[in-house]
Amino acid sequence: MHLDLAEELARIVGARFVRTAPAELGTFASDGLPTLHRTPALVVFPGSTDEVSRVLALLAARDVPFVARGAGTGLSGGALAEAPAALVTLTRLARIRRVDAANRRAVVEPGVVNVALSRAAAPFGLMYAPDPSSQTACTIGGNVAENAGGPHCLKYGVTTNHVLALEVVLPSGAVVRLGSPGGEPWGPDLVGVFVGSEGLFGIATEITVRLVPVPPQVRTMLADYTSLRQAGEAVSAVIAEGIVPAALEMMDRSAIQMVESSVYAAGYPADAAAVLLVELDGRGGAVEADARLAQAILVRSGARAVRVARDAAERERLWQGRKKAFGAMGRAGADLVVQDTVVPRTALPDVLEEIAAIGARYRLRVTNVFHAGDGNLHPNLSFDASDPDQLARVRAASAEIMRTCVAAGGTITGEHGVGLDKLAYLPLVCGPDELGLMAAVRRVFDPGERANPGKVLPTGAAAAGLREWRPWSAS
Amino acid sequence: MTTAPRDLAELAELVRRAAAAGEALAPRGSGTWWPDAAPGARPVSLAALDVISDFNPADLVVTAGAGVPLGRLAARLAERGVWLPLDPPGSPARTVGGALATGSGGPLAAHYGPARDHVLGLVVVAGDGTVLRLGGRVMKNVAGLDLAKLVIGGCGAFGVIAEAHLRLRARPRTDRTAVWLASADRAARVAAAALAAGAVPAALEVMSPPLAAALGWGGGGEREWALAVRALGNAAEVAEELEMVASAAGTPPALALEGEAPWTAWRETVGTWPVVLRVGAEPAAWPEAVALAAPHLGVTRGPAAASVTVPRGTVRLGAARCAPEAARVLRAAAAARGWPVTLERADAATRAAVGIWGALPPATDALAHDLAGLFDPAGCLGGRGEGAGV
Ligand SMILES: Cc1cc2nc3c(=O)[nH]c(=O)nc-3n(C[C@H](O)[C@H](O)[C@H](O)COP(=O)(O)OP(=O)(O)OC[C@H]3O[C@@H](n4cnc5c(N)ncnc54)[C@H](O)[C@@H]3O)c2cc1C
Repeated sequence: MHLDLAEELARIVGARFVRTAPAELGTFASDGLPTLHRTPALVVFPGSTDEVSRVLALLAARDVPFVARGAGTGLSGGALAEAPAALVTLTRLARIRRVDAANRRAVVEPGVVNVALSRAAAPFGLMYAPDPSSQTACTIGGNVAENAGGPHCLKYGVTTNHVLALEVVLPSGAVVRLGSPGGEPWGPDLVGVFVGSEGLFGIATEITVRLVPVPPQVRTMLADYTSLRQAGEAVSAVIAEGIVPAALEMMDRSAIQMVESSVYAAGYPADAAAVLLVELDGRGGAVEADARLAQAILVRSGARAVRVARDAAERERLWQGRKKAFGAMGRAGADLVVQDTVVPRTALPDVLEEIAAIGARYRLRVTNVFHAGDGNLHPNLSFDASDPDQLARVRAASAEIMRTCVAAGGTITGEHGVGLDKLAYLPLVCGPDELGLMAAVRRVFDPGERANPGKVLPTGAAAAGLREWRPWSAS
Repeated sequence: MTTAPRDLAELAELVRRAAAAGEALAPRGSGTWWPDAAPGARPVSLAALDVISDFNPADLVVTAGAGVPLGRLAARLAERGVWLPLDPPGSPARTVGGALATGSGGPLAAHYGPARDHVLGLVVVAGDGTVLRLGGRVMKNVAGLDLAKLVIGGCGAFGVIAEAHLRLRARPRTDRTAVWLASADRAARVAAAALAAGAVPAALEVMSPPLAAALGWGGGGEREWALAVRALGNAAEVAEELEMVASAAGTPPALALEGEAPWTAWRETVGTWPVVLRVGAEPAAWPEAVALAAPHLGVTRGPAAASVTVPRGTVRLGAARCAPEAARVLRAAAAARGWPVTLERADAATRAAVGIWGALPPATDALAHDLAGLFDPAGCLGGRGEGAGV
């Protein structure tokens, strides 16, 4: 049935760039979320904005839904497509069109890998600040869709604070430009509402981002604690002192043990209850002064030791444990669910204890590796997905963790998005009026609801209670 | 007749009734920025929604009613050693709701971003009276679509802001400003050199001679543009930042100022401009943007009143009035370079004649129009007229 669609797509992008063989489709059936798998009807790889536009126009004419895909590292199932949906993969759109040093910005295609942009900007003394831990793989397009964060977003802000303008192909195939090259909106802030829209509004085909100067000096330190609670309290103490660390990350005992017993061993004290990785950046004297202050606060807050990296190599090593923690965890259990919730920073000590209790109750190993400075938790659950009982326990524990964080004044996702994984939990933080309005806003961009169908917003029976919003022109 | 709801429930009820009766409303904060309401719309004062309901200094979050004056909020935050780096032009009486509705930032937007970058969540009353809770009170949040972005800077067309959850920062220990006086060309060269050298000041604002003179920083001559650089942080950081700009300038600054006072003066002085237009250019293109705009602002002699937030490319221009035809020509010329021109401030007659945003690019216009229609289904917030002109 899709043969002629595939042929017509091939006429647009070339036969090489349309895949329909089941074995090939299988490789696109997963993203970074291990618990869900979906197989698309076909995969198409457009190579230009014009091709994206013609592909989407054709899919519109055939009333075929589609899902945009970057690198497929998303952790909420956002890049999964189920037949009859087509998967539109953007990895060929990987050119950095311009690094404009005088204006501290860059214009990129969506398939550019996050770290490649910072590399291209480095000769100009600039970098792209949002740095998801997946930055060596994930794409800027995926970052825009998820409003991705990263360790250094504590100081520099998340993706939405760095996107100035977008070229978007709407699900109809129409090409629109949102925002302006300087970042000032044209009318309402359509760039702002597009960022974080998880592929529901169409495909971003060109992205203009801000770049920031590479800090000349970086100081990284590791504080180790014998109590998880003390480590949590130290986070607030550092921030309260007026220090703005470039990053403030926490790893608990389970994470330390996993890292230290893996090939990524970073020399973390294996008997610590938690470590804090604190990074300060800026110019020499400023970093020096803040580092002294931070060290004093960490010691005062109960750190057993504070180790300051003496050189770049030691710094790399301290970060390696943090950045490779997910890889290390992958080894520990067959599968890993990376949770992602946010709480007010001062609630961290209590919430961490509650999460530990939830893990114990469901007999699951919980490993915390997270952006502590932002209160953005990643309680990770190790399990064996082939065991239905474990899978059920993981789901129940995840739900309890989310409820706990919402009750503490937080939210169900800070950077990984809702996708498919958190569909059922969005009502914990958004009421029927808000959800109904979100669905209506989505239909302004995508009247047929063909872009990333079934993601983020409740559909079918779950949508029954949502308020219906109609524009005045229609009412 | 002005109506002043005392709380969220009264506000929602008021909007609900107006929507049902087909009545137009004009929500107002202090009334100091937009001086008057559109004719035919009933002014709704939000001044009574002036409660700071929840303030957690340790979490760096505050929840403030739309009617809280920015000056009072700043004083309250300062008592606990925190601050909100949002410094739009105008008087300290300007309210939280007003500043967010117009989306304005000020010189500090150079580093901390415009209004949208300080908002964690909003409580908004949509045009049919529905209370919407958008976003939350935590530092990061991607649960659902980010609808608050449409409301911020939506100039009222996307609902009445009742309350805002704002992200705070620890108050910097040192606050110093250095001012150089120079020709426009030289100011541009120094600003570019400082940025190329890696400067990351809290503010880097270039002001045209009339503004610099009004601030008491020069005599208003052609060579007396002011380049004002504000550095915040620990003492070493501030010293290093200002030294970096000084070495880019090749001369020590004409003035070295301490604390917030010069910037409060900037806000108040720009707040006396009856009409403020904002051009969104690229940072390095600001001299061209100023030159492009000046002839359309009724300036016959010398440079226009202008203030440029260089790292953002935001060019603010002041004028006594703005004729619709002049604005149309300016907007067309700016649009050819990709620059939007927003009417940030004017009386109601000018807003109606000139439009806050003017004609949007057609594709954007269709989206903006349909979105505003959702948030304001009965059109009672002026989605079709006043507010946004969408
Ligand atoms: C080990 C690991 C660590 C991670 N660490 C972080 C972290 O620190 N911070 C963080 O925020 N995330 C993190 N993630 C999650 C993930 O990397 C991010 O969500 C990333 O932004 C996804 O990018 P991607 O290119 O892989 O997108 P995909 O997974 O391919 O797609 C994600 C979503 O974006 C949509 N999309 C993709 N491209 C476009 C486009 N051009 N236009 C419109 N929609 C599009 C897709 O439809 C989908 O809904 C991590 C993931 C892993 C596996």
